[in-house]
Amino acid sequence: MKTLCWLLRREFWEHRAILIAPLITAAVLLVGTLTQVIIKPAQDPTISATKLAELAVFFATCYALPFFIVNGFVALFYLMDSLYGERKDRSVLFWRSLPVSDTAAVSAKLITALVVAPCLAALTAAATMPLITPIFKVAFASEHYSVLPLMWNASNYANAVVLWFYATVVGVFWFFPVCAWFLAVSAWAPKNPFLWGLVPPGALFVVEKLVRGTSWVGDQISNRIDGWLPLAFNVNAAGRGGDVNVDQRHMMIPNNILDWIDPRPLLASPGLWLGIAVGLLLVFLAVQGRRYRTEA
Amino acid sequence: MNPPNEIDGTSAAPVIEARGLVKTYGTTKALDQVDLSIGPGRIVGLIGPNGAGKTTALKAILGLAPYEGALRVLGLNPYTERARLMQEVCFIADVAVMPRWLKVRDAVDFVAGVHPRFNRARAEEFLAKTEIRSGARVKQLSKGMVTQLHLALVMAIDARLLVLDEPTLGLDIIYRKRFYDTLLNDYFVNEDSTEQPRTILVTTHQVEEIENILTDVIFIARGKIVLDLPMERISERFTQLVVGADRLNDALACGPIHKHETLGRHVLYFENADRKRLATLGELHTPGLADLFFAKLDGGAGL
Repeated sequence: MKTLCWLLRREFWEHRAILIAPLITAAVLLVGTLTQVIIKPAQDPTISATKLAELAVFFATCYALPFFIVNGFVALFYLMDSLYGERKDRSVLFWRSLPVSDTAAVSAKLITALVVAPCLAALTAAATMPLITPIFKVAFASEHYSVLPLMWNASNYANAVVLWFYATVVGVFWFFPVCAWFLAVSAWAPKNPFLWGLVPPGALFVVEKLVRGTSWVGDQISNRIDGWLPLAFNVNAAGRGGDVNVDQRHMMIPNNILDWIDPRPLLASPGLWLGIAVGLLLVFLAVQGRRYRTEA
Repeated sequence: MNPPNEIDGTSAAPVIEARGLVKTYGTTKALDQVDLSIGPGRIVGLIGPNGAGKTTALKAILGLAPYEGALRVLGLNPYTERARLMQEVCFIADVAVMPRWLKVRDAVDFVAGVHPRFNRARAEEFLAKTEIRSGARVKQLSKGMVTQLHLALVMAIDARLLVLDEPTLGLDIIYRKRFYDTLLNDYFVNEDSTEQPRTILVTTHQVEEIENILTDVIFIARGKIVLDLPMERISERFTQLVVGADRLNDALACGPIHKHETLGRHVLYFENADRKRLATLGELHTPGLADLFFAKLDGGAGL
């Protein structure tokens, strides 16, 4: 356990992007929102209060989305480089001269990509959203939009954060085989892990399309990217709202966006469990690669 | 389960024991039926030309590559039990394998964190004697400093076996000298530890610079062990004869293993020869390792 902590710290020393990327994302979002304030948003007076309420919830929930997307790319680059990079600069000989098993070393990289990086992304989102809130309040201070600041309240904020961490936890399991694939490629690729990691699935997709006219491979890939959303979130729950009085207007808003959380369909889906099985196999291959290949 | 041999404190058991070690790359045999036995407390030089199998042998010993044959290092199978083995074995593969992005301070922290036998104070004491700043990254250090850093880390580990593969490659002469001085004074002769004597296995091209520190020498060529001898037995087994042209034929009749000519005089090498007889022909010397290496590996060429 102590060793694992040191291994995680070591990953962080090497790949600062894990922290820097979410900070940059936050900065871009802040600057973007500020610019929106200066250039007053075109306000549509016909927009309904319900719509506004939904928008507010939507904004609060989706604020973390850019962080997660950026994190996906960071994790991709990180994993591709991890085992390949240490072979390329031969530092693997230094790391392997220490009493740390290859399984522990590979696990630390996997945990960094699947747990540490997305958690940092979600935490940065959670920490910076309160900074954006006042800007929104200024931007939408006019009468028609006055409902927005009200929606943007502490409880929505807290709920959104809970939702992000739920998504993070689900992502750990759903994206496990993807990360394991990139890790295995990084462990075995003779050179250029990017080509080895991305070309074979891409080529399979093209060949299948050309030869059989079907796109099973393509479906699998796109399912792995966003197929978990409808399985892990019951978005229909958003419609179940309560009657709330805001500014003398009655409107329907979801009582609680946490109603969206429903992991049961996900847990019942074969895709999750098959993915985990494939992922374990790929991790095993990655560990064997770390053990067997010391040169790039 | 059999207890590993560290249990018996006398530790007459060899530190490295190989029987019929084979490693093939495609059709080339990098190691061909290698038998080795290295006892505790020895400083062994593994010497051979490029591609002779030195690094392959070390890789097998360090669990960095799979192999065929029987190999035990400190009673462990290095390939399957590498992580455990590395508690007792240190190695410097060669210079410049320290990751470039690593900070000196972090390197010390990390090794202290994962290595149960790492003595942090000792590493810091060693580093304090150098010009290495603890906030520097490896990429900011000179080649010599990187080796010093690596050495500082390795010296602070209370290991039973230290393996050095071309440790001074690319270093200038001052660093090389200092490297081996440090190795001997701070590592091999360590008063404050241990029950177990330390063993060092070193490979290098620069035969001369390790000649005086070795207790044993192993020559390897084309994947086979050509010579495996304690240093003190070299003088009884090998003889160098410097002879003038007039006595050359007499000397050749004694069956030298190698001959070369310098400045009109002939230098002949003999193995297990009758020294009394040779003494009547010319000057006798004990060959240096470099000469011996050349004589053994160049074989009968020149005869």
